Amino acid sequence: MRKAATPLARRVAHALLRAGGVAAGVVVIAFLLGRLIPGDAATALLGSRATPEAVAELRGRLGLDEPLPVQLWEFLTRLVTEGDTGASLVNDVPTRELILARVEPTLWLVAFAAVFAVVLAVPLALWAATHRDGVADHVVRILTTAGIAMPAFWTGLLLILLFSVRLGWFPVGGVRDGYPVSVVLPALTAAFAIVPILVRSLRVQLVEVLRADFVATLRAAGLPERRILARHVLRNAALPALVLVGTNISYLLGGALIVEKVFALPGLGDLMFDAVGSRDLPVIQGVVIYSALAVVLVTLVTDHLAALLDPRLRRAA
Amino acid sequence: MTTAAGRAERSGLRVEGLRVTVRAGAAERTVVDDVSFAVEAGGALGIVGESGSGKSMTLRAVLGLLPARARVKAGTATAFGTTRALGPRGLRDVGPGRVGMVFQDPLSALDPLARVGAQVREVCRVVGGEGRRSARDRSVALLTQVGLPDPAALARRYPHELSGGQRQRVVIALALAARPRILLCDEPTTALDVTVQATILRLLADLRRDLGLTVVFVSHDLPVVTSVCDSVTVLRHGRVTEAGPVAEVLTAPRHPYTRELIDAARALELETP
Amino acid sequence: MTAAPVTSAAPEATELAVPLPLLRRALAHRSLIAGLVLVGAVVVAAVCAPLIAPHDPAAQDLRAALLPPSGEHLLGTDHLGRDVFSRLVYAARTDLRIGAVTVVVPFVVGTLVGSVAGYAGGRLDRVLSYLVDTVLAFPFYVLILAIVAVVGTGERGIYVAYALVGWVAYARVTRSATSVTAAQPWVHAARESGLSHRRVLLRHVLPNTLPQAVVFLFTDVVFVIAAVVTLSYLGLGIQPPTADWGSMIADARAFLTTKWWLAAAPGLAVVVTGVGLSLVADGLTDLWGER
Repeated sequence: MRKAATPLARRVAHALLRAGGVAAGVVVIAFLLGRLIPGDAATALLGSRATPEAVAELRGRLGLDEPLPVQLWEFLTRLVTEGDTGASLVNDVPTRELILARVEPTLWLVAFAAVFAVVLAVPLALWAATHRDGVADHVVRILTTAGIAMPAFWTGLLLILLFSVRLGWFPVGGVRDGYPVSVVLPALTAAFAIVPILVRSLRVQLVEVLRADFVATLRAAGLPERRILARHVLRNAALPALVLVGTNISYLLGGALIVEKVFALPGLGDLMFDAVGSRDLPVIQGVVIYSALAVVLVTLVTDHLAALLDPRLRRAA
Repeated sequence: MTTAAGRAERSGLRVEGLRVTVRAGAAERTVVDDVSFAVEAGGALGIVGESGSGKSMTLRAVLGLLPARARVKAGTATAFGTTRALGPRGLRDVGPGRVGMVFQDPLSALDPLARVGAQVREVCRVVGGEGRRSARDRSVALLTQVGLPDPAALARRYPHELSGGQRQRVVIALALAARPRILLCDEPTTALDVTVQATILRLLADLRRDLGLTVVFVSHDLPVVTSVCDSVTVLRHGRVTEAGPVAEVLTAPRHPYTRELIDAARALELETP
Repeated sequence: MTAAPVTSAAPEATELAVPLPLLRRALAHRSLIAGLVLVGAVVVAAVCAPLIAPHDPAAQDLRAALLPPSGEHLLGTDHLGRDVFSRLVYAARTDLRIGAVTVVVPFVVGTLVGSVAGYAGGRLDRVLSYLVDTVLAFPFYVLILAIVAVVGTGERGIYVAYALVGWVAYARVTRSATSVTAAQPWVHAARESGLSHRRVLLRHVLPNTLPQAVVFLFTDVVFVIAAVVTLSYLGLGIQPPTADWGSMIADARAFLTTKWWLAAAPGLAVVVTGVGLSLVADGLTDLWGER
C-alpha cells in the first residue's frame, strides 16, 4: 500500500513547487508595476504641481533612488517579514492594515458567489446534457451566450432594479443590514458572471459521464433514471466541477471587486478603486499581490481536494 | 408490480425486423438492418460478427441503451409473453431489471466513485425492494455466487482496486441483483486476459444452468461463442448472413463470410497451441 | 465535438467551383449567419452613425432633459437633454473601434509567442507556460485596474493594459494547438525534405493553428468590449463627452428607479454585440471543425 502513496505525494510536492514559483512571479510583476509609470514615478504620482521637495521626499519613501535590484530586495523583505507593501501615500496607514480591515465583505461576497454559481450551474448543465441537441440544450446555449456578453455591473443594476427597488427584498447596497443578507444580490451578480463558463464546461463533463458504460449498467439493472442522475452522474461530475470553480476563482474574484462598487460594499474592490483614483501605489500593489496569492492558494486547494475526494487518486487505506 | 411468481417465470426472447440508424451530421446511416433472432427460454444464442457489424448496437437496442446519435427505427421484441415495438427504453419497459446486461469493459461499467458492494446493494434495495439488512446479506451472497473470494472485504473496495476478472464478476453480480430472467452479454471477455476469459465463460455457463437464464452472447470471437452457445447468428454490415444451431453452422456454413470466420478461427487455434 | 464531414467538397474541383461549396457550407450554419447578421448590424450602425443618428450626440438642451421616449427622441433624452438613441449609435463607434484595436497587439504577439514556444518545445516552452500561469493568477480586472492606474486612464490606458495582459491567453491557445500539430508526421516529413524551421512553422504549422486563434479572437473581443464598458462605467475608460455605452450606464444610474431604459438600452447594446460575436465564434468552430 505504500506505493500507492507516492503518486499523490509527488503530485502535491510538484504542485506546491509550481505554486511557489507562480507566487514569486506574482510578487515580481506587482513590483514591476510601480516601475511601469512613464517618466519620473514620484512626479507622476504627485501630479505636475508638486513641489520639488515633496517629489524628493516621495522618491526617498518609495526607494526610487536605489538601483532596481536593491529596490526589489527591499520590497521582498518587507513583504515577507511584515506582510506589507508599504504605507498608503494618502493616509500613511500600512497597506496590511488597510487590506485586513476590508477583507470581510469580499470574503462573504466571494464565498456566497461560489456557492450560488455551483447551485445555478449544476442544474442548468444537467438539463442541457440530458437533453443533448434538444430544445433544452439550445435554450441553455442561448442563455449562456447572452450571459457571457453581460457586463457584471449592468447585471447588478438590473437585479437592484428588480429585487431591491420593485420587490424590496434586499437592500440597494451597503452592509447596514449585516451579513449575509447584504451580500445576497451582489453574490448573485458575481455568480452570474461565471455561471455561463461553468455551465459550458460542466455540460461537456456531464455528457461524458452520461455516455459512460456504468450509467448503462445501472439503467440495465433497473435503477430509476432520477436516482442514477442524483446518486451517480452528479457525484461523478462534482469533482470536475470543484476543479472548475478553482480554475475560475480568479475571474470570480476580479468580477466580485467590480460588483462591490455597484453595491457599495466596503470591501477590497472599494479599497482598490479609491487607491486607483488617488494613484496610491503601495495599496494598489498590496491588493494585486494579495488577490493573486489568494487565487494561487484556492486553486491549489481545490485541485488537491478533488484529488483527495477521488478514490482513484486517494491513498488506499 | 412484479410478483415473486413473475420473477421466477422463464422467458425466451424473440427480436424481429430490428433497424437502427446513426445520425452523422445531416445524414443517417443504417447500422442494423432488418435483424431478427430468437432464443427459447433457458437457451443461449451467440451473435457473431467483426467490429462494425452492428452486433453491439443490436444488443444495446434491445435494452434501449443506444448511444445518443443512434435510434431504433423499426423492430419488435417478444419476451415475458408480450410483443412490443422497441422504443427508446427498449425491453426496460417490461419492468425494472428483468433483462440484465454485462458489458465489455468492466472498469468503465462500474461507477468509479462508489464501493462495489454499495453498487450491488443499491440495486438489491431499490430494484429488489429489499430492506437494508437483507440487501446487505444478498449483495454478499451475490458476490459469493459469482465466485469472488472474501466477498465481505471485497465489497468495501473501489472498482479500480480490483483486477479485471474480479471487476467483471462484480458487473455480473450487479446484473443478477435485479433477478433478471434474460442476460445480455456484450463481449464480456474481450477486455480480459486470456486465462481469465475461460473462468468468466465457465461462470456464465454455470449461472445460466443454475438460474435457468436465457442468454444472448455477442462476440467477435467464434470459438468463444461456440463454447457457450447452442445457436448462432452471424452479422455482417448490419445484416444477418447466417443463422442456425452451432453444430450446423460450423460444419456446413452456407455463406462464404461464415467460412472465412471459421477458417480464421482455425488458423488462430493452430498458431496458439 | 462536431460531426464527421458529410458534405464532401471535392478537392479536385475546378477553380470556379471552390468558393461555392465554402459559401454553401457557411450558409448551412445558422449560428454563423445569425452572428454575422447581428455583428453586421452593429458595425453598419457604427460606420453610418452620422446618417442614422437623428441628433447630434453631444448637443445639450437642459430644458429638454430626461424626456421619456417619443417619436422625436426614440429612447428619450438624458440628464443633459442629449438624445439617447443618437448617443447609443455613436457609442457603438467608440466601443467597437476600441474593442477591435485593443485585441490587435495581443493577437499578434500571443499567436507568435505561442507558435514558437509550442513548435520549439523544451525550455522555452516551460518558461512560457510559467509566465502564462503567473499572469493568469491575477484576477483580470484587478490587474487591468492596477495598470490603468499606473499608466493613466482613457483609451491609451486600455490599450497598454490589455497589450500587457491579453497576449497570454492567445499564447496559451496557440501553444497547445501548435504542439499538437508539430507532432504530426507530415511536419517531420516537411522538415526532412529540407525546409527551414521558419518555413515549416509559417507555411505548414501556422495555417493549421491559426483558425483556433481566430475563433478565440472573436470570444476575446466580447470580453474586451465588456471590459472597456466596465472601465468606462467606473470612470476609468472613455472620458466625457465622448459617447460610450459604459459611461451612458453610469450617467443613468441616478435615474434607475424612474428612467430604467436609460440604463437598460446601452447594456442591451453590449449584450447584442457580444451575442453576435459569440455566435460568429461558435459558427467558425463548426465550420472549420468540418474540414
